[in-house]
Amino acid sequence: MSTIQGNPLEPSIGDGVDLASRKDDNPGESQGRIVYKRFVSNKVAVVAIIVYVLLIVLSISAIGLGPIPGWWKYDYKSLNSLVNEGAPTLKLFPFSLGDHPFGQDRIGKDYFALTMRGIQNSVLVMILIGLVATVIGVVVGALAGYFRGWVDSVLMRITDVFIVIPALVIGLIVGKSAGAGGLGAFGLAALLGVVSWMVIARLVRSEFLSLREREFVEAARVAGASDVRIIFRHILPNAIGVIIVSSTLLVASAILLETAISYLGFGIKSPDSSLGLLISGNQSAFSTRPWLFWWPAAFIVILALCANFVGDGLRDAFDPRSKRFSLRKTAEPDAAEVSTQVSPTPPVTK
Amino acid sequence: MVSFILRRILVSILVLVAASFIMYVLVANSDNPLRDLQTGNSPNKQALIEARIQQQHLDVNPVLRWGIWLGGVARCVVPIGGSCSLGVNFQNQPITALLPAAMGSTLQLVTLSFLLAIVLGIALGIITALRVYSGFDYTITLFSFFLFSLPSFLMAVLLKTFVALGYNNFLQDPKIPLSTLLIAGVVIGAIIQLVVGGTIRRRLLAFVISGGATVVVLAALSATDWFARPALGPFAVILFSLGIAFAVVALLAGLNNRRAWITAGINVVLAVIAYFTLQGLFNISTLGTILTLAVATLAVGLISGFLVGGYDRGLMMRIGALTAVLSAAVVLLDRFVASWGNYVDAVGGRPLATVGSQTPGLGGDFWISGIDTYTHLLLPTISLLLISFAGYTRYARSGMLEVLDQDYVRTARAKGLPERTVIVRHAFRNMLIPIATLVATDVGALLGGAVITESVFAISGMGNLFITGLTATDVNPVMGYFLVIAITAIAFNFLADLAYAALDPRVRAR
Amino acid sequence: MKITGKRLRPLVGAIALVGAATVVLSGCTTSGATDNETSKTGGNVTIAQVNEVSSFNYNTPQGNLDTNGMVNYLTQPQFFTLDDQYKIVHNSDLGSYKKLSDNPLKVEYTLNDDDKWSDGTAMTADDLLLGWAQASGYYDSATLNDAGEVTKGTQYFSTAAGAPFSTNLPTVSNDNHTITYTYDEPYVDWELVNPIQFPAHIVAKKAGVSTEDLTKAILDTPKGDTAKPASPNKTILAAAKLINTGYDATSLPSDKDLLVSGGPLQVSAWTPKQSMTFVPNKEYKGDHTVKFSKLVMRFIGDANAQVTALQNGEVDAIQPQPSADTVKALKAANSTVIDGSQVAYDHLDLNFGSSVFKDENVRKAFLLTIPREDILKSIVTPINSSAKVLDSQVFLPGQEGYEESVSKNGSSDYDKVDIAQAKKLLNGATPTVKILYNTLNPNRVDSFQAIQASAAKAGIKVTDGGSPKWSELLAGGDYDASIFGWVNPGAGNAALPQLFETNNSGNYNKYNDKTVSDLAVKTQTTLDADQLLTEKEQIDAGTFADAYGLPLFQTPGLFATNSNLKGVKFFGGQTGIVWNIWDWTK
Repeated sequence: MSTIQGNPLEPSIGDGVDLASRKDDNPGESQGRIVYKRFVSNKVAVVAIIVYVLLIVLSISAIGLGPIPGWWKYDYKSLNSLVNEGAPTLKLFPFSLGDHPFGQDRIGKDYFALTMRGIQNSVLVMILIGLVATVIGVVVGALAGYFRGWVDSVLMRITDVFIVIPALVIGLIVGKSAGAGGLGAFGLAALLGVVSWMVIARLVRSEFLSLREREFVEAARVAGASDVRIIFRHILPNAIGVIIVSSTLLVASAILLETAISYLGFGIKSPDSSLGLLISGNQSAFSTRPWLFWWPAAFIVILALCANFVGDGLRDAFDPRSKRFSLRKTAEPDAAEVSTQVSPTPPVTK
Repeated sequence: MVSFILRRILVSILVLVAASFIMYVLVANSDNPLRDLQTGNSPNKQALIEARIQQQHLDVNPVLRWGIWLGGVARCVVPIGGSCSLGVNFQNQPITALLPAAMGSTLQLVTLSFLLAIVLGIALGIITALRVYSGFDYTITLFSFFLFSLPSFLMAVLLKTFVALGYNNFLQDPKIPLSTLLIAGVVIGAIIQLVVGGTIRRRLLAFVISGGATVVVLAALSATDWFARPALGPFAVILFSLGIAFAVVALLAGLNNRRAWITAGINVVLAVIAYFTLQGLFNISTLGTILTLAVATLAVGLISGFLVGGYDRGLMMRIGALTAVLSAAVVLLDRFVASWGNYVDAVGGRPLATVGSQTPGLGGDFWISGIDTYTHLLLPTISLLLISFAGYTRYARSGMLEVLDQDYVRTARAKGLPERTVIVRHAFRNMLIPIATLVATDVGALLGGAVITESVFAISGMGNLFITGLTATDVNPVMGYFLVIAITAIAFNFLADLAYAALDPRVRAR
Repeated sequence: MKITGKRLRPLVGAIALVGAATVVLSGCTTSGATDNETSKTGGNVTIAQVNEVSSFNYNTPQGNLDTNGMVNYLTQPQFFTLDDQYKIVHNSDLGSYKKLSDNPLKVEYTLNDDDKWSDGTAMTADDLLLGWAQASGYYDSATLNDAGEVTKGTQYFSTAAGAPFSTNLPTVSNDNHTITYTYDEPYVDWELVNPIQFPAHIVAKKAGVSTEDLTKAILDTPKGDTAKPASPNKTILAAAKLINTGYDATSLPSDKDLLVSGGPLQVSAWTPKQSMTFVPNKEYKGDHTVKFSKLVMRFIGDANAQVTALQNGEVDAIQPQPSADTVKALKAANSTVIDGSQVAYDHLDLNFGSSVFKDENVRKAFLLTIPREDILKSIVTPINSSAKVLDSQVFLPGQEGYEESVSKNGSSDYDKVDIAQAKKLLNGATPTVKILYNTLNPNRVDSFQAIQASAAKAGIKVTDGGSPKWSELLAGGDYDASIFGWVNPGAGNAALPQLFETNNSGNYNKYNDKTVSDLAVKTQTTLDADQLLTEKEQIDAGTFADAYGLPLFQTPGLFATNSNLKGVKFFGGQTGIVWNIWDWTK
């Protein structure tokens, strides 16, 4: 098994945390501050994160969450009489929502409410997969990288075992179990998280393998710090960049995983709603009522695109060595890359 | 080295066994395998249920059932005591009989998409890296992000509806309206000027020339009814072969290398001669003939390069082989195009297929069935390759940028080597190192993605075997699927490691 | 590639290689110039099926799959067919059958003189005897344990339908063309017994015996006795083994004997996972010969892909998942859409075991709130605009007796939602009703939601008992009402006792009415058609009088064809689109 398992979007993630060496960074600033400044300078990523948050706010406020009602007059379960044969009533010039801005499905459910519910579920799945996979991945990777030896061998072989099965395949099986057990979106997302941690584990492991040899770890050990303390207080903060970047990119692939599973009929099931389910359920309507297809499709792409842009922006912000890409035209393209091979400054310790 | 390989194989087998255990138990517990019978109202329900319990050992605990299954698999590897068995599905069909047919179409699809994704992705990645921070770079980067965020089932559905149905409908009356012509010209022109780059003047020129050429060529093709009755003909074959020779020489040796021109020229001439003399042979060709000819072509290319030789014999042989193979491909393409009309007639005037991997009962010779495979695999291949294509462009782009920043590249430039030599000889090879590892992990994603593509295009391959098995909670076909993809993934990982060692001397040294 | 200095060696090698290549080349070409013209598609009919063929024997538990059933229907001899009203029509192409007496029930089957299997062998009573041996379960002496294992005795032929009837050993005429069944007791569905399936000469050959020996074994082996099982008869066992599993296949059997056909078509090719090709059986004579030169059955698993394939001309006829959008899309693409109703129907059953529905008034009140018209309009009408609410528990529209029964079974009480009447019956009570349904089936979810909204108006609180595992909960009885579907075979009466007999395992809602239960049992031995009709009408009326529940609608069905294929007509039964394939022209 090869040991490099990066997200394809990821050219390289530096092992040394080398944050203070860029021209535009003030050496006196904290790591978080520097990362933040670099991130907000990336306009695309900032726009992406704003759009993402707005979508979450819109979806939750529109149809509510659980027992709390939203501002939109229909919910995603109730049947209404068909208005205008179910065609969208949204008008842009002059702007008006109408009764059913996104139209209605076959039996008169409001498609705006269904789409909003789909966004809620997709976002829930994205975040939950990200969280669960990150926690498991970090623990497995940290233990393997820190203790090495047989712990490492065992944990990495377990990782290999899971990596042999393609994510979609194991996702479909998990989705079927969740569906048969009536677990719903929450259970599905948690289970998918349990089977998506492998990439993070490998990255965190290699990060730990290199960080544990550094002087500050040696110093902590001499000072009598326990293994747990060294792992969580000393090494982990230095590996945070790798972790955040890879889990953001995992989140981006998570929405595609969920929609694919729901599309194939093993994920979230009616009467609940999911963007993938909406597409698969209305595929036969593609030529007759195309809006049933295009609304969920558009939101899938938007959500995934946002997550990818945010992930890319975070990588740029955390990793000074990565080749920077932003839509902002750089006057001197090479300027950002000249100073990357400077010897590392002492890493942040607490 | 041998002990390393042996250890790797042993570990792989253990990983495979453990993964199969997880798969088996997960699938077996994913649902109730008797549901379809229990919900039915067959008068003989109880007997049907009992028959299935018997057939699938459903009265045995899944963990032990896995043991039974593994026993059957073990006998496939070590032929002692009993015959090889992967179990039977609910319809009593042995999985060993189902797998070969299913594997055929899937491996065809996945291999094709895989190779195309690598070649196109890397090529595009390199171009964007060389034109870094240009409009072209931004466009491609944005485009690859978009592809990344596009679910493959969406892509597949769109391709099917718009490209397949759209193109076939267009063929009913193959005339391109003027407005479409102009739009096509503007789009092509805009892309070409982005690739060419440089000053405004240069870009404008590129835009006008390429856009104008597009409009003229399309208009000519439309006027001559080329889309209904396409043909290349000797003129186009010669022109394409010369173009190939030019590109190969320019890329590998530089335009002022006389020996390279001679080598490429010999092969173009041979290809053109072959074009005129071999048509009779082509008419009675089978796949075997074509493969033999391909080997011969390669040999001719290598020999011509060897004979022209000179101080850089290896390079000449590469140029010879590449020119020979590519121009031979043009000759083949011409022959395929010649059969296109017959094919279109045979399938009722609608060549692009939306389902399956071949037209049933088509008959026809090598060329017809070749076209049939092409029309069936074209769209699924595109939708599958787009999954990983974007990844390769991003990787290749950043890899190339990183390499170009290295000291040895600077040294090469400093000693006055032409940019072509720097890129092709020094940077390219080193850029491939990180990509080798991506290739290995990408195979798994492609095999998984094939499940979706096969489902949308109704190709009854491995994905179909998996989905129908999983839907019915029929474990054995799912496990058959697992075995094939897991072994493929492990094999590719292994190959990637070898490629890694071949590309990176530091790894070899260890 | 390093230059070694020994320049000649690779050159010689290369020349040798070229020489070898020439030799290989000459071996790798086709023997002569192949015609560039490919086979014409005219006269070829291509249809799409979701499932691939898995066996040439539909009647085994594992082979009991819709597509296998179609293949059997097309390639095996049939003594009768069903028409589109599900009426039995005698098929005289191969032979005839008639009832000789009612008590005991005696039926005689006679083959025509010139009947032949597709390999040219004549059909004889040997084939009829084998068919009988298969279907009757006459020799079985097995005792099974709970896990389905045989603990004692012998199980010969395994059949999906079990052994629904029992007869004595049939008698065979001297000319070996006629066979007579004598039933142990009257059997209502005797007309649905097809006495012939596989060619005895092929089965005997595969079992390693002569046809005479097989026939002799069938005639000489005594009836199986579960109490005192005899040692198994090797010949019958071998024949049974072949029929049970020998016809299961994943690709075209290399042994062409297994493809010998007695029906109008014959399997000629099978590309696994892709398609199966049929050509007309040259030995088949009669009314049911097909009018085209080739039938290609493509296996397209995705229902949406079938629609695109039809639009794109890749197939000529499909049987897609019925939906209003599919209908619209097909019509827009100039396909011919043929809609109708399948033999399956959705229904609401009240659980007689639940405390809520102990009181007949509550049952009636609840049924009065069921908005059957609205449910039909939202689910079925968009696909099948002429569909009507189903008004009978026993008959389906189109079947003989439906109109008659509906007019007097009392279903008219529930034609309209009557909230006022329901409230009156409830007399102030506000019962809570938990409904079990399949949450994964959108139609059932829609029905549930419509019922919930309507019942609330009468003060009945309907709670959601839906589950994806509804089928396992059906027998448990932890619900007050259930919405699910039954498949009515169209012809035949075997389902009646299953549904209405007290304590029958198929009577999930614990319906308990002695009169209806007795009638349901009695139908199984009623041979007189008029009397049977009366009994069924009484059952129908009885269920409505008891407020058993309500039938909701018949599942809509859909065929679609390209305009150049003519003669396809709707049929809701199990043979699906191929039911009248002999009428197709292209």
